[in-house]
Amino acid sequence: MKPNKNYFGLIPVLLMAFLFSCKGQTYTMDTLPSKRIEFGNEGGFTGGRTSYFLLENGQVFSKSTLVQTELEKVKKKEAKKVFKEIEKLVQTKFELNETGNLTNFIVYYNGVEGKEWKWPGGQLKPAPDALAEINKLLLDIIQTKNDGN
Amino acid sequence: MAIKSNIMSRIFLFSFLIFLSWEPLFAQKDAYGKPSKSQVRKFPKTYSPAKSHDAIRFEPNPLSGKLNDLNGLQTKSASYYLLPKTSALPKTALDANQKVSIALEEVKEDLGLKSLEGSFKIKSVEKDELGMNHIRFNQQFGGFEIWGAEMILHERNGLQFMNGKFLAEPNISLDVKLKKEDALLICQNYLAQKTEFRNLTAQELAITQYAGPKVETILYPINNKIVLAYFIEMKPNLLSTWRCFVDAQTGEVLNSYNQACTVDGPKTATSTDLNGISRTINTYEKSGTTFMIDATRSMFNASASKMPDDPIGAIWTIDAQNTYVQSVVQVSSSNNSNWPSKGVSAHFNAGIAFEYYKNTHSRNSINGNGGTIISVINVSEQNGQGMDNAFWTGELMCYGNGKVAFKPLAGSLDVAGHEMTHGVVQNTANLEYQGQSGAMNESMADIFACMMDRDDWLLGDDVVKTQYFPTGALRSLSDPHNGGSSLNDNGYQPRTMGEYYSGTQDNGGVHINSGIPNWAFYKFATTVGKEKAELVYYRALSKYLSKTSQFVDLRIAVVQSCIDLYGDGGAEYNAAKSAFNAVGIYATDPGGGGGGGGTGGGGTNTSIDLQVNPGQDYILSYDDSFIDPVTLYQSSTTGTNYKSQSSRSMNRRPSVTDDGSFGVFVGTDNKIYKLNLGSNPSETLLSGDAIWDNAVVSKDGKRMAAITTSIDSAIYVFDFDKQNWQEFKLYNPTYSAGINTGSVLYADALEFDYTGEKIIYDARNVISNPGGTDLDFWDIGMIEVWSNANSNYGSGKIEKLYTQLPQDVSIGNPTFAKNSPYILAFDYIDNVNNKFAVIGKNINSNVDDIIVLNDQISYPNFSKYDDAIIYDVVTTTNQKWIAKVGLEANKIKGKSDEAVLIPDAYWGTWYSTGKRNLTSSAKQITAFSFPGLTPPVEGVIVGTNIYVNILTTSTTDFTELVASFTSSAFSVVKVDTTTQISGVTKNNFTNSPTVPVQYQVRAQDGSVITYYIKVNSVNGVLENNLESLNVFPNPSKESLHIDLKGDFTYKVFDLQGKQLLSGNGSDGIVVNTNEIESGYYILEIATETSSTTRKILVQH
Repeated sequence: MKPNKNYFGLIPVLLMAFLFSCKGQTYTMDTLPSKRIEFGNEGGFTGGRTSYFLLENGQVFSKSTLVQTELEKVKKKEAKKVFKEIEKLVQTKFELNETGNLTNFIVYYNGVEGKEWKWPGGQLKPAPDALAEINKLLLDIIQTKNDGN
Repeated sequence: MAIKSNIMSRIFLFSFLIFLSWEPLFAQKDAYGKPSKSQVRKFPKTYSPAKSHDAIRFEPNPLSGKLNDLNGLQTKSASYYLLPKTSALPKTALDANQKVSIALEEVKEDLGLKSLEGSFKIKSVEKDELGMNHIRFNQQFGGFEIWGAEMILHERNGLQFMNGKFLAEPNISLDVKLKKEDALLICQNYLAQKTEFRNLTAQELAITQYAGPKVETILYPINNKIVLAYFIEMKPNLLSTWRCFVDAQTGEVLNSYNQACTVDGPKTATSTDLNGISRTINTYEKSGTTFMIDATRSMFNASASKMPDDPIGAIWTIDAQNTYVQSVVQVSSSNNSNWPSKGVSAHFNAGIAFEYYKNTHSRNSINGNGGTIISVINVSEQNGQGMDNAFWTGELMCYGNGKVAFKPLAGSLDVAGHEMTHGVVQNTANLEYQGQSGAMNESMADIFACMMDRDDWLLGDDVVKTQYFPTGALRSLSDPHNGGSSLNDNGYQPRTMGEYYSGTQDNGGVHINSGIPNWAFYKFATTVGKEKAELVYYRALSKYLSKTSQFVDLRIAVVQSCIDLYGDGGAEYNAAKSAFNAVGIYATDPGGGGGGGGTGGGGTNTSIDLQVNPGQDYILSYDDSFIDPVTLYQSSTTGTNYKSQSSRSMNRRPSVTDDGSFGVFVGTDNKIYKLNLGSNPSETLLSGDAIWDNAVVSKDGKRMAAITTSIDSAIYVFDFDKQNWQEFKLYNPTYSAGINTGSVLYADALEFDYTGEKIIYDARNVISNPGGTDLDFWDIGMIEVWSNANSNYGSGKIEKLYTQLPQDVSIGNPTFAKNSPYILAFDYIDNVNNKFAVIGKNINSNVDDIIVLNDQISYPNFSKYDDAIIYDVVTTTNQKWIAKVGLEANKIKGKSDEAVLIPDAYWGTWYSTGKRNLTSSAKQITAFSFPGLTPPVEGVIVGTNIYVNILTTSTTDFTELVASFTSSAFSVVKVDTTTQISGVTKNNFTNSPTVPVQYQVRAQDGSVITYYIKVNSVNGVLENNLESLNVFPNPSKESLHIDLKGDFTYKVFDLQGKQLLSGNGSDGIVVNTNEIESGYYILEIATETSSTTRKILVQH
């Protein structure tokens, strides 16, 4: 006769393990994942660089030449939408590498390599058409977030 | 734009000259058999108004449109609406109301309007002198006029378009709660606080025709909402007419202003700046409001200015309202006092910077031509928070308010001087903002900033926070290290080429490596004095440097400027050389007095001409007769011997390969054809899609580019090897072009450059002007569509030919010189005065001149030798002919010897049928040295061998020697995979006598040659056994004695590097030189441990 095993005691353990496995990884500025979007500007009088980093899990970081901080997270769905749009842009093979005294940039790191678009910053006219939608999505993400500095 | 200002003042009676030469021309035509033409062919499609240059209009500065508060309500950002070709408008006779209804219906979705019912009211219908109809109408909602929401429907030759703005329909109550008389009372009480009230006499009422207050109920857009309001206009006294807007539901006074202009004009005000200093600033009053506009400077153009939103020649400070310059408003005051301190600082400092350039360098403003200087305060980061920066946009000087490490940046004169100098650089050398040229751009900005704020050598010292910049400055010319020891330290910059940053960050280190020329300037200025140094540097910037200049060019430019201003070999000349030596920038200097030129490379030269095409030249011309079936003729260059090439109607001038073997064109059926030229011409179809409007072929015939008939901002490129199309969307570069470029509608004329990598094009642009009529103009750009290095499509990067076109001016139809890839000719059109000209431009020197004035668009084309251009003219009897005018040696100035060449024809193309190299095959190293050693050492170049003998000292490190060299223009030099930068890149030459370091020089055409560098130590441990070397006689006749102890080998090379003799010796040898011809040779002698070279002369 086989021993009578009670498997019900394992359920809470498995449930906890499941829940922990569902919790996405959290990153710090020093451990950014290889897939991310960096955007911001650089140059001007100071030559400084101000960057924002958007991760797929919705984490947002701010980094300037002098300080860095993590901003309020956005919904994962919102972040996914931006990644989807930028991957579509990559497919179009759109190139933009125009520098100004102050230069805006968006860099998409797809896990293997980075794809960068640059255009002059601080202009009265909006971003180039091909980038307008993505740029708006990215700016919306940082628009209301105090970077704490 | 640098086009000479007197361009329109020259009077040229070209039609009269044509009239004088009428008879001989017809005689010539008949004699050589080209069929007579008695009637003019109907204009082909290219002349249709939709895409012709002459349908262009201009309106005031687009910035004026940004200075209102309607942006948030506007239904569409680009308020230019071209109606579809299928529009019902032209099909039937309609009245103005019907036309507007149809037009609005067709763009309703673009406008974002929900309903058209009662949405507009016709205000005026006008037909102008060109036959265009203009129907002006304003937006209505619920029976009320929406203040300022107005559009105009334009009609011409069956085409319609609209401009202006309508606002989104408001979702508000239209219930008027305030009585009309109560609103008037509120207004009177309000205005009583602002102005004097008195009753006008009967005589005054008669003179002013004032019938009492005017009160209307309107919808008033303000602060991004629309408010039901009373509009009240009244005269409280004789001198003023006030307008007042009162909320019709709450009674709040929404806005008021004095409409009268009796006190308008420049004012002064005293306010405190960011540093707590009381400053007197110049302001401008208009209709009772004062603006931060300085209209008192010598450059101010009162007649051209439209105050306050379009001042010309003013110093103007505006407010970005804590945005990333997404919108700007006037800085204004109702009483000309209490001005914001940030505005006071920016405005005051801009005035100092203007006066500095004017008084020290006789420069009239940033553009050198009295252009308005605009400062923008309260600029934020993209997230709306404080910005630790200031920047130049191409037209605006923008100041952040600081955040972490900076105070408001408008508070520093050197920041203003820095930003304004970026504008001066843009309008002079236009140094490319990348690598060394970009670092020089930054350096010039720092240098002249320091000359304006000349009490120290520091940058940003008034605005940095010392906890982040311990020295109290962002940068220092006197010590670019600025208290740091590496790039990890804030404010650190390299001082010498030994510390040069060669990474990719910061556009190749433009803010980093600027420390090197900054330090050179400091050393120079502290030797000769700031007064001389600033004049020398301004001359170098404005006269000698060009877009792609490198550090070596800066040295040469500064030394040459010293010679120009103070003579060859003087103290200034020597101080300049010493300063650049000290930072490790070496060159073969101009002049030579005072101890000779330096050691190092020559300057970079990209003004390289092509070999003249060796083939026979011809002219292709498009026939203007409707009775002659032939459309395209080949003729001699004197307009004889016409041969038919095609009978197909064409949309545009055909484009021909450099060897003249074939051309491509778009037919009026909108398909692309290939045309094999010559005595047996033939046509084949390249693209049967009936969508094309123009097509051109690259000079080498390897690819073509095309545009479609649609309003399409793309150029499509087809590579004949790859057999696929690549789309390149056109855009207007914002930095280089400033705000005056708008959106690209479509390109028109196209031409490949000689490398096949770039296309120069003209494009129609429109600028949305929410405050008035949209601006519409043509300009010229150059786009990179192919990469020869990658054998693939290019990056699509665009540059503009001119950064700022004057209002009312368009340029188009660009074409390259036949032998000078850096020379262009193009059409210049002044739309207001209806003047036309062909302009020549040297892209490298940024100089332009007039080739010829004309009465119409010219479609210029260079001759085989670039000694003339051909272009289109129209006779007094409206016939189209091709004319010719000679060119001066600089190829950009005409000779005034205009003459008609081919009658009844247009779109002339001058082409030749020979083969030549279109890209440079030059790949020489012409100078090689180690100027950083003491003493400097020059190499001897023998063919592809370069010999360098270095006197070894204990400090000479052969593992990290930095060579300066000069290589052919457009070539790239590599050692293994590392691109070599002259004066920067270090290499290990330790084993080079036996294993030479290989410098691979890649020419523009892709060919490669390898130079072998052998660096010997001639006075160190390795040289001991060569100390006794004696070579004699030199010159020798029949024999040469090599006297050397021990075993050795010898080789004799000619100066092309070919080995002629070789052998072994032991304790000396006699070499028979009878076998070689008289001349110079290189003798290379090697022992087991060392080698050396000697230059010998054989004389038989």
